[in-house]
Amino acid sequence: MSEENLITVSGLRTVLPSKEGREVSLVDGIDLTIPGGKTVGLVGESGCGKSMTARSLMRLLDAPIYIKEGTIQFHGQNLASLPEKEMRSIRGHQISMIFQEPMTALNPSITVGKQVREAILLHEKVTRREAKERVIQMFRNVGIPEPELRYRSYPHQLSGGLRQRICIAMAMILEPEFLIADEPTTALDVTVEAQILALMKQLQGSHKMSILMITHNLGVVADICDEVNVMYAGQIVEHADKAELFHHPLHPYTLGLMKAIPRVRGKMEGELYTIRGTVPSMAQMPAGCRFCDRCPYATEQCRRERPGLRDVGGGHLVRCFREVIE
Amino acid sequence: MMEPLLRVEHLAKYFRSNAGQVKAVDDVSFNLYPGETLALVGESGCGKSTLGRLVIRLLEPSKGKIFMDGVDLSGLKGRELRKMRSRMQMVFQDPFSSLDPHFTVGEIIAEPLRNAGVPKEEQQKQVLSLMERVGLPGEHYFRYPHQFSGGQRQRIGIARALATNPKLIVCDEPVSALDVSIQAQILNLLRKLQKESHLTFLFISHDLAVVRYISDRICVMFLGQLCEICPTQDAYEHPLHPYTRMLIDSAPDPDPDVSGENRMLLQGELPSPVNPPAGCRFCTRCPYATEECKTVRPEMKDYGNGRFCACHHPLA
Repeated sequence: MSEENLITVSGLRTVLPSKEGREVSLVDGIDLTIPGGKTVGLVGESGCGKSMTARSLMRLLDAPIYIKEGTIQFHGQNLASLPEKEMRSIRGHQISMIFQEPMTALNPSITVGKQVREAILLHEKVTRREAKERVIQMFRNVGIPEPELRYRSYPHQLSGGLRQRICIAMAMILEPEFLIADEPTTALDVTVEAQILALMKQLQGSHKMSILMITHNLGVVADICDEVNVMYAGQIVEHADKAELFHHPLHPYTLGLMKAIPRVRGKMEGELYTIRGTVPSMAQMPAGCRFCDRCPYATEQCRRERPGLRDVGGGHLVRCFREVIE
Repeated sequence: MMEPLLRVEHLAKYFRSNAGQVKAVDDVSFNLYPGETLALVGESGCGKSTLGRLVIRLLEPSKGKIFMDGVDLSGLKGRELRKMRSRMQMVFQDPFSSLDPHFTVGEIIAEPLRNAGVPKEEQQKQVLSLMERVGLPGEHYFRYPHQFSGGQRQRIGIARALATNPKLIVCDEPVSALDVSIQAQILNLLRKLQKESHLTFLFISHDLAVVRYISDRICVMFLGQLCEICPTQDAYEHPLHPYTRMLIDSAPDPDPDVSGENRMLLQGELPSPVNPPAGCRFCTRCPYATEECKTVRPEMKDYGNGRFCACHHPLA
């Protein structure tokens, strides 16, 4: 934990106000640190709040959803309370984002080259020609074949993999320090996914940036992340280094997830483990631990009290009352 | 040798597009044996869903024949076809769009029974027993699809597919839209149902981990043609076709120690289906491709022990 943290999120709470005056916490008090030059994973199932966390960091929340509490420290500034105008100069420049569905992230009526060039022209004073040359160079860096030709293509003329490469080029063009990748390979075939992940690793190496990788796929985490945060029902339930998390998962939810996934390699025997039940609704959370209704180890205490995140040694954090049996 | 439940011979489906004719499925032959799960894998656009739809005649083939229990399906019409169809059903990928939101769960599951002319009183009894078999509480009979989660909707879809007591179920990406924890529940359910009712599954999926768990044999498809058919274990441990190897190698595994260097990864893009390579369709992406591969289409050859591969330079 000695490296400089690029981003420090503390107590982030993003809420959706409801008509009856109640609030639903979509992100419920999250602490998250992103060390410089590292890839941090945020894993969880649909609706757990992982994308909402990303959007909060980017300040891309759709009204009436808003950040109610917490701070996002980035170079001495608190992004959670920064005026929109200042946020705009950071967004896309120092912090940028790639999305799951590259087709909807791109404008269908503008050539991909112009869209990426636009990002440069918005933030820097350069001529159009210089900007174009940089775009073509970036296209080459992200492995787009025939970049001069592709510059003039429209998004619909490209395959899903190429579109995602365009989105990555757009996110990388201003050399951000921090990249948020929200399920960047979920819509792609495994063969293309492997290419995109290799590209992200290579770009991270050459640009020394930090990445927040949001995914539901533990295979992607194992491939690309240095540290992992597991999210469940709006909270982080476990945090550890990648190797530690995969070798010694502690939270019953993390354990369950790992046993529920069929493997491509290695031994596989018997039935798949299943986590019983479904995720509780954000509006009706259990009083105690949010996982207690699905947890095989739940006790009376779990139903009554909310467990906090505790350190079990070496920066391995877990939100669970259960004593660890070594 | 066991008689196949389904025999597919030289099946083809051509579509017309603005750019020209697309051979979505091009001369595909395979057998499906009773009680087995045959997985159909490949990248998006390889024709696996089209093939699934051809098999249960939701699409008319351009060429080729399909025999079920020895009966040629392509010659059937009207009542005969309907009768045959009740013995094959489909489970779809998206549990949100494959259930009519205006009907209750009971009505959805009863529809195939109604079509088959089962009397009303009998329908309700059968629906309740179907719901029990797929793990849906009977009191949900009068609920509507929107009141259910994705996993439960998929259970409804499975119950509907089971209603006519089919022999064959084509499962088109049945767990792709589901979260991991729910996916395991549905996969285990499918295995249980198969054992109980001696069902035969044609399981279409792009998820190689799921396929390894659920299938007995595997059919690898690339640009409308089959590359390899073999027992599932062989495909994962010693595949014959380079594409099989690369497809499996590109799948990420949730194990930080395995994600290693020995993986063979695909480069480049999928060739255009309108203008596929003349010889082996995989030749533009294959590291072993020779002149022969560019001009001569490889035939499907028998390598023994149920392994078939169409490649001029197989790996083993």
